[in-house]
Amino acid sequence: MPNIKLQSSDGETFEVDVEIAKCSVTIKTMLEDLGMDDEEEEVVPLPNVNSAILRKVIQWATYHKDDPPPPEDDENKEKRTDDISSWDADFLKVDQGTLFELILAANYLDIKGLLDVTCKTVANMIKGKAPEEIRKTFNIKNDFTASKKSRFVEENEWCEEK
Amino acid sequence: MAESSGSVVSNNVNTQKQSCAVKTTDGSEGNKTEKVMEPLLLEDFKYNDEPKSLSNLLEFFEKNKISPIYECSLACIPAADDILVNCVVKGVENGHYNTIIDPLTYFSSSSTCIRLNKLQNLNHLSRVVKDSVCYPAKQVILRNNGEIVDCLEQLPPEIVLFIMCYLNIKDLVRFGQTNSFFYKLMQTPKLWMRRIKIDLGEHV
Repeated sequence: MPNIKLQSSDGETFEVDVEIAKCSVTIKTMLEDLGMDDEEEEVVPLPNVNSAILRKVIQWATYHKDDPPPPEDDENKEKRTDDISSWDADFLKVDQGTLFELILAANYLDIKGLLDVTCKTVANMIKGKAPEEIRKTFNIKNDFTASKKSRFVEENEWCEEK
Repeated sequence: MAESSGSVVSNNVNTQKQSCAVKTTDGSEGNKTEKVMEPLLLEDFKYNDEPKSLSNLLEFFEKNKISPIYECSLACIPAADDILVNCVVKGVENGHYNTIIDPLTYFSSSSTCIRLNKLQNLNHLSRVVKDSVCYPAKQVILRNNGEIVDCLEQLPPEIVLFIMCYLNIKDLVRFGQTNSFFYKLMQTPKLWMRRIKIDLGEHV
């Protein structure tokens, strides 16, 4: 199978199977639109992804290369977050900075499967937590005034009682 | 047991001690626009005794709680059959990383016989050091200079909204109470239209 070269923002080049690289819709479109020839030595620059993240993305894409394309989102259906495979869960045992960078890379490269699983991971970190716990988890600054805070209690009673 | 330690000079860590400019740009964060902090000139600060030497200068910074210099040190410590690589970014919380390297994987035990596969492993070694030591250290430094997305608020709103789609009403409301940015996002009508459709389903 033909290979393609991907170049990260810090100049590292990765040689990847074209089929694996094409799980990124961005790269796929780029190759199709620009008519990049498989036979030529092409280097695709990815200025938004650094080498550490690109290596992880390629690792993910290689593992998932035979997966069926992810189903379209059904607007009317609850999105599950408990269906992360153990391989993905292990793969995403990274610090938050890396997790957010993977999300940004998946978004930029348009890799739906990776974007889904990374966002699910973040959602799981939010679920079942009180606001203060969420703030602590993500180091979120509380910028509300005291009066606003007390209003929340009233405003949100209806859902807290459930 | 010999302990060797030295400073890692990462290309994004400039410690220009005279003008105290913190310049942390390199090509590797290409998605960020070049951001160079304005040089902090000594004249900008009021002080009585003019710092005469580097140690005076560092003292001066410490006294005035200015920390424009991030220092990163790397130590390789022999531990039984392994080498413990220890990296500390000074003056920074969580600025501590280490990794264990098994020398036999990377180096031939005999000095005269160098096998090709051992040489190829050097590639792997450089990756190990890069990924588990240099990269995290660099992240810490970039984060401290505010040049990296390390908090949820810095993700683009459309991605945060995408994440919010995974939350049920209770989690959504609780998340919205964390700060004003998420409060605003929580009020996105589309999010609630979706929730109504899901939670009430056939009833509407």
